[in-house]
Amino acid sequence: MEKNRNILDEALTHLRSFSPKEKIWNNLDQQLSDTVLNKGLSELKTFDPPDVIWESISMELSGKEKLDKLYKFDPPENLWANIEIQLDGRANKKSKIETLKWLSWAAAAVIILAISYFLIVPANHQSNISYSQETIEHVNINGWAEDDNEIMLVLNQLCASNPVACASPDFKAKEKELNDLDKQKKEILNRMSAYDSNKDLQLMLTKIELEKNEIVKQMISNIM
Amino acid sequence: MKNSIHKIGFIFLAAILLFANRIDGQTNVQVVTKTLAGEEKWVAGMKLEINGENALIHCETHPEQSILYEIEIISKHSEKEKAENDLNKMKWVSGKQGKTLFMRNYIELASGDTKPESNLKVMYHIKFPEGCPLTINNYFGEIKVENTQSMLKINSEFAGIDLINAKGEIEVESKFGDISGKLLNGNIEVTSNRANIDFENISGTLKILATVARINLRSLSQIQSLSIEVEKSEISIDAGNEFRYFLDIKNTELEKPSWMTFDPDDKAENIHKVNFIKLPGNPLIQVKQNIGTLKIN
Repeated sequence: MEKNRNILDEALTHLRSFSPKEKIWNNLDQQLSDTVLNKGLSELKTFDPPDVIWESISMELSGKEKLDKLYKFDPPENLWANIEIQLDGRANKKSKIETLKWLSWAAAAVIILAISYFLIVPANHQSNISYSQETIEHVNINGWAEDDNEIMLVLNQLCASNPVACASPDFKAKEKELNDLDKQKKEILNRMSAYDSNKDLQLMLTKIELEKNEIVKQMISNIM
Repeated sequence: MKNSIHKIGFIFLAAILLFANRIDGQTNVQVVTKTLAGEEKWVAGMKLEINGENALIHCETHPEQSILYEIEIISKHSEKEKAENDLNKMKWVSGKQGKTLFMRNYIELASGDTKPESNLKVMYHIKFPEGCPLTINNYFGEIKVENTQSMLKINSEFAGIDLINAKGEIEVESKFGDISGKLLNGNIEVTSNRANIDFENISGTLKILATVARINLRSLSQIQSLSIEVEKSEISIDAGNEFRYFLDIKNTELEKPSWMTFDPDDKAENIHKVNFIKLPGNPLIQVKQNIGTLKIN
């Protein structure tokens, strides 16, 4: 047991009390927490992230830098007003598009109705087939074209002897008329059939031949 | 006796030769005919339009309110099989399109089909109401229309046209198909290209435009006005002295009756006026012609 226990207690009471400043306690706190933190950190496992992560981070950083470098300016007041008007316009456009959609549907309906109006509705009818035999006069169709080449040959020969006359507008007009008649003649000849009398067609051909004769005569008299 | 035998022998030989010649000049043909018939109800405002090719179109009116039709498609060939085969190449269709009843025939060739060798024709026998407007387009063949009262419009190429007793608006255009008409009354307009025109008993107004045609007009006493504009044509008008005449003719040989004297105020050489002073209110006949002949009776 200690004999001078009171002496020590008395001495302690005579000691000056001292309270540290708040700052000291704060520093102590920080040091204590740093110590704990450092201790915790040192216990953490360390690892290296893959290169891709670093690259993407650097890209993002450079993008942000570029954006920061862009010029910044405040738009004039009327710009906002214009944007508002344009936004209203877009709304109108949207409504116009809607209207157009309806109109196009309506137009399609009208077209379908119109087409159905013009569609040919087939008529109903009865049909039957019969057979018979008849005797017809044999017609020499080829006879109608026999002289054509000869006429052209004569005209060509005459034109070779007098090319000036054949180049005249009057001659050219008659030549055109002759060619037109030949065209009509060929059309008729194509229609003629060995199994028909072709009476009407032959009358037409006669008329064409008579007219051709007149034209050829006039052409020859132009040359001579 | 010997003479008689010789005579009989000669007659026999002549008969053989004659028969042989007949065989040489004639051909036997197989005829296959397909007939289609039907009827369509007609309502006011309904029109009929026929588009033919190598078609013989015969239309006439009837008192019924319907359009009756009988169509014959005829194929002729020396071989029956070919005639039958070619018959199927000629198509005939009919149907309503709005207020118009259409009829049409045409040659249809399927892939690999050859052009028909047979003589193919289509005959239309149509009966329709008087009030039904009629339009006919035909390429080769013929057209005959009788007793129409409504609008009549015809366009023909190489197909003759025959009109009998037609009234109303009549419009005819023809190339190479001669036009004949009897008892026509209304506003008649004819355009002809190398198609002869033969009209008689005409009333109303008549206008003719023609190139290379022989025009023959008779019995025109009821006509209200006649206008003819032609080139390279021969005209014969039988109208009489009850009309005013205005003739504008160049390079034309004029043959006029004894009663026809030109009014004295003519200035141009090619223009002649008749009865303008004597009959100022009478119907007018105008002729404008270049090259040809003009005969007035």
